[in-house]
Amino acid sequence: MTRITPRVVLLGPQAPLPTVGSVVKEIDPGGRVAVITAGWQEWESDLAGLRSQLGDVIVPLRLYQRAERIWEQDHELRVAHRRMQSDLKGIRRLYARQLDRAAEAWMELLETEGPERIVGPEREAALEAIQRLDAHHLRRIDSVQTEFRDRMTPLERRSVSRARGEILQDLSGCSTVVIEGGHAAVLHNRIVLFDLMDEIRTRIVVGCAAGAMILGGRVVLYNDQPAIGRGNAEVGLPGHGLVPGVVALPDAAFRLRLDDRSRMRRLALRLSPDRCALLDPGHRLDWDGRAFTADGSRLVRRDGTLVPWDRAA
Amino acid sequence: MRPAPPHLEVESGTVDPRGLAIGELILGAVPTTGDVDHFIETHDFPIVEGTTCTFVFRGDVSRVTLRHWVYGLPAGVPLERIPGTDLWYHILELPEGSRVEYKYEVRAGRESRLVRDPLNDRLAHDPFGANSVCHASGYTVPEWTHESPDTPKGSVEERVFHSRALRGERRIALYRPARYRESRQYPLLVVHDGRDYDRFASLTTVLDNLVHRRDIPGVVVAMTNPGDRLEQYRDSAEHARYVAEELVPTLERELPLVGAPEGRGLVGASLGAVASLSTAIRYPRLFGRLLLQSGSFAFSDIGSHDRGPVFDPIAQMVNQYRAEPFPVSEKVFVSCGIHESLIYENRSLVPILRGTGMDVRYVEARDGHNWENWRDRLREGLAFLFPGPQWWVYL
Repeated sequence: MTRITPRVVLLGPQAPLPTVGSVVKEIDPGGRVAVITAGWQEWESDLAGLRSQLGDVIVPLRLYQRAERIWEQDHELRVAHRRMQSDLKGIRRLYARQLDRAAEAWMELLETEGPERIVGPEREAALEAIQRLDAHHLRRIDSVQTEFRDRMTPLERRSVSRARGEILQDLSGCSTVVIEGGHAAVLHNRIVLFDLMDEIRTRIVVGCAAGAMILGGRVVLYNDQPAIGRGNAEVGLPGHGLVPGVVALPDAAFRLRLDDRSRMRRLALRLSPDRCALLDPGHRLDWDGRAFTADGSRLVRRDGTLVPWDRAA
Repeated sequence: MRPAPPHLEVESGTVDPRGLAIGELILGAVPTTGDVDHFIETHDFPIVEGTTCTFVFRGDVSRVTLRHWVYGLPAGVPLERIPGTDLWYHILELPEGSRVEYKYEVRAGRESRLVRDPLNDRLAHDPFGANSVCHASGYTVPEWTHESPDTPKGSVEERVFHSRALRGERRIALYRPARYRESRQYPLLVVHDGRDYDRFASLTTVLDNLVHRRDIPGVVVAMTNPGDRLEQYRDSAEHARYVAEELVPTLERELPLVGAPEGRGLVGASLGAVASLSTAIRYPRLFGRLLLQSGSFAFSDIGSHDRGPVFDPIAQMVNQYRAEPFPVSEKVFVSCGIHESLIYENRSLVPILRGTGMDVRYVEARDGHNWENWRDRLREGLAFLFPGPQWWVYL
């Protein structure tokens, strides 16, 4: 395998096999490494594991703690942010209700027997209905978040602007940014709050698990065996688009029924033309701006089969 | 196929053993002791074959009766002795996914005693001891009920709580989740019969696992234990006051808790479910989440209920609530076993609860009035009431 010089590296979960240390040492030996661990929330500062892998070159950006401090200082912004989150929760509930019915209708049509010329176009229409719903949901999220930004102009508020300045200062000496996993929405929201993605994308970016998810075009949430409900995958958030056309699915072996070919087929069809990249522990997918190389990562094909990413390419 | 011996004539309502493992012993000549030894050594008991379960007992006794707690089946089912042997059997049809607790009543001479199945190591414990358990086809013990070395453990602190309402001291066990932080705000669950929930329904192990899997958020749990259970759990104003006015406010002052209805839950099984509902009725909307398992919700539409005078205060409470239902909470999870007589009462309560506009999830299981049934429903119940960030967290 010829290793490219990556711009973005997507990694699987960091337990039980942490790989981020060896990956960063390989692609940016000696460089300073900004780390975003906001997805760990209250445990953001528990950096012993990362330090043991990366050493003293890490520069924690502490986005979660900084945001918490801002909420304490800026009551108006905190209230507006909470209201936005509450609106988003409500929209998600409505989306999930519609999705449940749309997915059921599509599954029923997929199992319906009959001549392809009769059933085929109906199946396509049912699939398109889900894809339209997914796209609509992302637009709703975007519009709520845009409305919040336009109304509250967080970057113009002193607390945010000061924190952002500190973050940019920390970032300035770093050639690599590691975005650890955790809560995908918290990660996404903190990066958006401080408007950091334009700064991040000029560096080598390594995303682990949820950190990998937010770097694609869409953040897709999935759990095939949930405690409640049918486990329909949901489009959760717009991604930051650093890795085009890819939906990263970390911890797939645990969260997805990979041996259920019809289920995997539905996932691949629904998310097409994006490609689903399975990222289990130890797996890696590199993007250099032109091409991918993979180590362990698998692709879900549109027939529901799984193949090593490199072979699919 | 050889004709069945006379004792094998299949009566209406019984199961034909031909084609089943036990048939090997019945269909041929009288089995030797060696045949029976071999049979015992080469099978797990009860023998589960599709939807049939063959219960087997070996012993030179005069009568063996299968005692189970499956409502709808005869309470005592006699086992049949295979002539010329000391082997007894009974074949029971059990639907997919069933789980049945049982004992054998063994009669030898004039003496009769209840024993667990000596051929079956699978036991379920409860405050009265232990029963043997039959896992029918399709039932498996949920993996999230087992301890796992990879799962961080929460802590349990024993506390003595002085209650003015109950005029005495009460011991509670306070569960905090792993990685507990003062900077978070945790939901609070008050679990009736908390010690038994933990001993017999693996409550803290289940909580550890569900929190670790993020099926639920980290929760603080007050595991309470009654003094006089019959007194306090049958719609007692003092008990409700203890929970709502003393225990919960104290914990909310001392601990980082949500402190709002959506962050307060009451949990109970059997009479504990009655105590939970009774407290919620007396303090409407204080608790936004209720988990009611196999509640002893006696009631009567006409005449009197048939559960004896012990249930009178409960029937009075339930009848009154049925007459004038109102929303006492926001979300309610109700579960009951199909094999228990209380299925009627629970099924009857659900439309009443739903009619008030509360968000009610009702689940039935092919199981009985026992702790492992209640354990097995905890994931769904707790995740319904307190959904965790599982969908959002990828580490």
